[in-house]
Amino acid sequence: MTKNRETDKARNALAEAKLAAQRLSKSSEKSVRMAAVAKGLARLHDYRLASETADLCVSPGEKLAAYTAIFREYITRRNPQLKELFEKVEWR
Amino acid sequence: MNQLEPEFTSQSKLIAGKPRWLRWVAARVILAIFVVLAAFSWELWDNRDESQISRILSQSPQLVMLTATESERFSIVEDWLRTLVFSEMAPYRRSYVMASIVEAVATSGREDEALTMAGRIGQADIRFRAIDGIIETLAKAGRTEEAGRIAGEALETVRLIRDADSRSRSMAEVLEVLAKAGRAAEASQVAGEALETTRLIKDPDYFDLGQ
Repeated sequence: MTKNRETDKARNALAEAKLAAQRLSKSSEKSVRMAAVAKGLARLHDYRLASETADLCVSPGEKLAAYTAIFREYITRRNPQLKELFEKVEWR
Repeated sequence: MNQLEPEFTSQSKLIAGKPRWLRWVAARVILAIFVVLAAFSWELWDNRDESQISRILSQSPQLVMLTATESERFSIVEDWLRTLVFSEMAPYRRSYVMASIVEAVATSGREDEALTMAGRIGQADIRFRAIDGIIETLAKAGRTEEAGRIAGEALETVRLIRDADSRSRSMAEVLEVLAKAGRAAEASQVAGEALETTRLIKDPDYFDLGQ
């Protein structure tokens, strides 16, 4: 119950962040923010909304970074042991 | 006359007796229900996590190509490849996606990085396809000597291809690159090996049909 409430809160915050990012005129800034929102949505396992948000990134680099986060969340959810592996690699 | 036939005949008369417009409306309603069901099923199918991931995987090579051109963003490409390597996708599917990324990286002019990435591809035949793409890029750029060197190194991968037909074809490609690069001794060794491999092909007609 508490977890659901927290998830809803996070989802609302991300929706607001997305709206704010949409209002930005500078495309590079907009891409960075959209990618951040997409990564957040991926953490909530809302892959459809996350990929739709990632698609709003104009910068291919930011879009790929968001896609990486989505894919990583997807595979670590299926196999939680991978999370440890990714963390180890990132520390190197 | 069958015993059931009078019953059937009376039923068909009943249907035939309905006004034409009623049948037309019924047909349209059935069609509309079918369309709505199809749309709903598609929405359900497209909403699956797997569909989203498939879409991401299919779009990634294009993004890799665009990102790899910016040197300061290459770490994003490496990160994507690392995620693919760790993923538990079916080996062949993973190798295909990785090969398309290698191709994209090579096209963006980063042949060395592409070659390192190609080394991580598990399936020998797909790994060779990826290396072959790099060789092609180098040859097109007039770097035949480098292409020849990589072709020589790729021979190890070619030897790991299980299917004799595919192995002999790949050897023929290596042979061509080596010959163009002026590496005659290596080329003649590969020619002998390719010939030996060709003898292992069980159905030579299959080879002819493929030409």
